[in-house]
Amino acid sequence: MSIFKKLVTAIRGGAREIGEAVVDTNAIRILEQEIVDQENAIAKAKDALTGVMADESKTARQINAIKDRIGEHEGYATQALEKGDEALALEVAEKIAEYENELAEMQPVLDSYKASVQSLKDQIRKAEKCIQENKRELSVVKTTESVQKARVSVNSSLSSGVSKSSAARESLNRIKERQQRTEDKIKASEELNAENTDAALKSKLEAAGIGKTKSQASDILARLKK
Amino acid sequence: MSLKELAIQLSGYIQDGYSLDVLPIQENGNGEISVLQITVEGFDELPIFVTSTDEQILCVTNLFQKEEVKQELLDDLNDTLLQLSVNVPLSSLGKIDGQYVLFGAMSVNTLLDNIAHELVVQSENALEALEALEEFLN
Repeated sequence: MSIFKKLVTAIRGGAREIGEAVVDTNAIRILEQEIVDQENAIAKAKDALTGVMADESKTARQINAIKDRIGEHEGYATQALEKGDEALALEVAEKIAEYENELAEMQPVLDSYKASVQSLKDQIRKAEKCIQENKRELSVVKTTESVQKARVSVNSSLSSGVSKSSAARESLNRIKERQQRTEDKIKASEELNAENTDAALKSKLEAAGIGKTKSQASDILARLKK
Repeated sequence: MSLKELAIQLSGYIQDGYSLDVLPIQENGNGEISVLQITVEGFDELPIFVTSTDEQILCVTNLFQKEEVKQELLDDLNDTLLQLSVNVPLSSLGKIDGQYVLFGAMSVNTLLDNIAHELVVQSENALEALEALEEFLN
């Protein structure tokens, strides 16, 4: 059964601990071991592949050389026939037959090398697919485990005296209150700053004798004396 | 990046104007850190639980429990969440057992800056999601 299917079954079955249904340390170990095994298999197959590919190209080169020699000797035979030297032509023809026999022996060897290259490549591709599949499954399992860990600590931290039925609303209210307080504080300090600048300006104006000036006793006396 | 390394580097990190607070949680007795509880400044009630595998880092924020939902609106909520999930940047909506969550996953090769950015975005998303879904809650 795929991991996803297992998860869905666990969820639909109302499993209290969904993680436990899927996260099985033994299963994780098996998956990890399979990945390692397949990676080893791939490494071996690649070694074999390079060997076989070398043999394949060596054989192909030999076959081409023989074909060249056959062509060459066919030319010699034709020339001998043209000169009417039947005996020589026959000798050459025997040589050609030898080469052709050699060729007939080598061709199946080359074919078998080609076949094993193909089969090794198929094996490697299959193992790579398998690894990919296992890795994906493993990461679903590990994520589930991770979720489980998060949930466990969540539950222990939640039991800190907040009533369960309205925890979210209370959190929301507390955060909003705090944000409001911060905003108020910022506003208050802005206002305070503004006032300070106002006051500073006022005192400067006063010093310059502009605006509402403070009544001085001497001024009052001077007024009374009039 | 291992969780331990992540904890060291993210602790006190300032991203997009928010500072990050990291609390490593050792679940089993062998001293191995299995989860990080990360709080983005100002979002103390919506901590993000971070776990990791060989491949990915998973960040989970709890939104609410199934019991907190107005039962008559449950189907409606589930439908809304499925549709909403596609539109939320960098995070998805989901459920772990009876817990509705907001989560994000990223490659373990993600740059620290981007991880931090995603954590901040996730906190903001979580708050906005809660605000938007408030009418479904008790």
